[in-house]
Amino acid sequence: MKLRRESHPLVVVGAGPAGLCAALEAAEAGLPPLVLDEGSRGGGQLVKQIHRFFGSREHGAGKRGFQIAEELVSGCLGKGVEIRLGHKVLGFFPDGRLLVDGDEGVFVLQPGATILATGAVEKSFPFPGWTLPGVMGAGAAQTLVNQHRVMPGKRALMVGAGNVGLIVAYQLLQAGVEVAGVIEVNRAVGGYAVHAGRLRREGVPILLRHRLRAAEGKKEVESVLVEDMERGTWKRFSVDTLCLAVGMAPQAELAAMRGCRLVYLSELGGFLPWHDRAMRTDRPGVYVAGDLAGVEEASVAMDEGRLAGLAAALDAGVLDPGEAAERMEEVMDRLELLRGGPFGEPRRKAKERLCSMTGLVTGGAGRKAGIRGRTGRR
Amino acid sequence: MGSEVTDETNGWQEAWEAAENGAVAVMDCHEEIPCNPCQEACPNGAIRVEPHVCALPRLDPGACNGCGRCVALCPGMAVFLLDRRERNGFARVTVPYEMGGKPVEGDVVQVVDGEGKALTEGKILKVRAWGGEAPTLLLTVRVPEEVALKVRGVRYRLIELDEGLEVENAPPLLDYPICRCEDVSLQNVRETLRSGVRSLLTLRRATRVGLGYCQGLFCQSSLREELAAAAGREAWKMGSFRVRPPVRPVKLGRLGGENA
Amino acid sequence: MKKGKGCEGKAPGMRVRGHPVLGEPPGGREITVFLDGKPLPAREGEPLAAALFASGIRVAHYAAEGREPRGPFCMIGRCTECRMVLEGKGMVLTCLTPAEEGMRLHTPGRRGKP
Repeated sequence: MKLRRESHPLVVVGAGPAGLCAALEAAEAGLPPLVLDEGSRGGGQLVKQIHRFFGSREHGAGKRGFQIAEELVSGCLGKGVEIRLGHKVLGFFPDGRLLVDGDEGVFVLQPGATILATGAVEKSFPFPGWTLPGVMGAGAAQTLVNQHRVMPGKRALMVGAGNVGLIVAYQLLQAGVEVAGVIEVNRAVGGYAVHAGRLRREGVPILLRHRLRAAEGKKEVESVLVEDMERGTWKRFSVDTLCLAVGMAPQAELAAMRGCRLVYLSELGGFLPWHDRAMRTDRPGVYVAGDLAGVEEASVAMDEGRLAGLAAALDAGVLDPGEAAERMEEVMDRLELLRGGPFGEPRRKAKERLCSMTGLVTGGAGRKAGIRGRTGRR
Repeated sequence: MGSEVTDETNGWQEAWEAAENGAVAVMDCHEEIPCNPCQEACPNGAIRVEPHVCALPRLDPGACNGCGRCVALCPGMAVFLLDRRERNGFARVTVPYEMGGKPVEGDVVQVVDGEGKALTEGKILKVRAWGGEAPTLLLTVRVPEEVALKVRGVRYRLIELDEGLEVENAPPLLDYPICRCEDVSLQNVRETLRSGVRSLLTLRRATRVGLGYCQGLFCQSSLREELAAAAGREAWKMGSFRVRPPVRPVKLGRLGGENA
Repeated sequence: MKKGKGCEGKAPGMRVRGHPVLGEPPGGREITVFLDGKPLPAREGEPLAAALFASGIRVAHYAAEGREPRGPFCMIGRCTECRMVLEGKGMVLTCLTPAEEGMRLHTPGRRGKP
């Protein structure tokens, strides 16, 4: 196997909010990275977000996601960051090399340091009829209406009243898809009340204590069976599209392949690479940020990215330790505040448990801190 | 009406009174979420999100000039304007709008409450846009004063709510694939587990689950749960498939250095 | 079950028009691709899967010896349920493959067909 070789002092995998903010910080510190992303546009999930964002000025709050994406990309390009789109990272080996598939062919990339910002993947679960065309992730429906500008169907039912389910249901309406309702097994809406409010005022019912039982149809979805868990009765919704918004999980394959220790924290989406407060993993020269380091808000992803960029620049010796400490402190304080409030609290505590461990988490010490862990490489 | 307003509703009493002299913001924001664009939007410093980004916004109605920028920029679309200047039993309410219908002044629309129920019909008096290149519309409608504080939006048509039709008898649940790629059914997996298989890897060898195109990405957590149920353990302890390169599909020729 | 709620019949015109936030879609060149030999309108550069959705076509391939129709599930190249045969390229993920004039797509796995 004869593959082209390339090297770069700093490589960022993923051009979403975390990866781009990491790149910006590192570039500002004098270490402009090479950013790889498999998508055709920079910005990651921001590209398909058309609602105005929460957070504060540092996170582009009040602007729409796709606008924030454009700003981050042009900010990066202006600072000498090279962004290669359409590049899939196929492997991340224990010796630190990356295997990359791009328009120049498959090549081996030797990074000085690597920031993984690979994001999250939508969870799904099997149920009768879940393989029928018309059943899809909420993110898929969102990609279709907002990015490709086509409707997944004419009438949809959303499963899951977390923020993703509520936001995508609203965006389906905006695109002209009827939404029959949002069903949720819990007794309360999981997402923000304001998102539920926007949807309810459009006449979309949010049915709590309702469980998805089956999608029905010969060739595609024609109807969906739902159980009313309080009354023990079943209902049939006449819809051609069923969207699943049942959570996200960190996309940790590359981190696992590299040998980063993975820990399990349900509050943060499942298995994720162990990291310290500056986003360093237990492998030297490997940093994580964003949803890969725990599924949270885009604003959090941005600030985690900044931390990873600063840490990489500091460890590479291009950033003065005093200055690095000052900037990191500022970002860490902001992160602390972003994780305030009833929604952020469980995630703040989970992150605290994770980061309270210094250095490699050993089994016993990890258990003591309530961290369920296993090594990624076995 | 004024009598329904309490201090708990985030300064609505003050806003209700101040609205006698012109438009003033009413904030329907009651959860501590990390968000403060309303504060940034206000040119007069009338909105404070303090002491930190998760605090509830506080409006000083005396300092609010009713410009509506916060209405357009609130990501939760949870700020409205109330204007009781007419003092004749009618109030003007301004709501943010990002749905279809291309509203123009003079349109008669359904004015709805927070549950999407029609409060009244109303004429759109004013259409404004604010908020950058993809602006939010601000629609001002005239409504009877007694419903003014209940208004949460406008709609061009009221959709008949369809809560689903009740099914007489729950139909039997058929078997279905748990692994989409290799088409392995749930029953097949459960039978294999009954034969004593207790690890993800053995389960894969026995049934081919997780060996398909997606490499277990979509079935792994479900398989873990099935295993955990069979073993009486927690799902996260059931291990994971080992991650092998390539983690994305790639044609073999490319790995050999071809670029076609 | 209520009829006429848009669950039967595959009318064309599944493109999003007059979006309140995004406006009209960017105008890619109108091209023609072929699905199982029949012409299908597409916009140059959009993923093939999007062109299929635009015409109300959601079955990408058949699994389980032709018994089970499957269609796009993730739209970002993970689930591989959108895979189809593209003449000259073999199996491709239609959610990631940009449409080009004259491309010929085939629905694999349908019973009784190769």
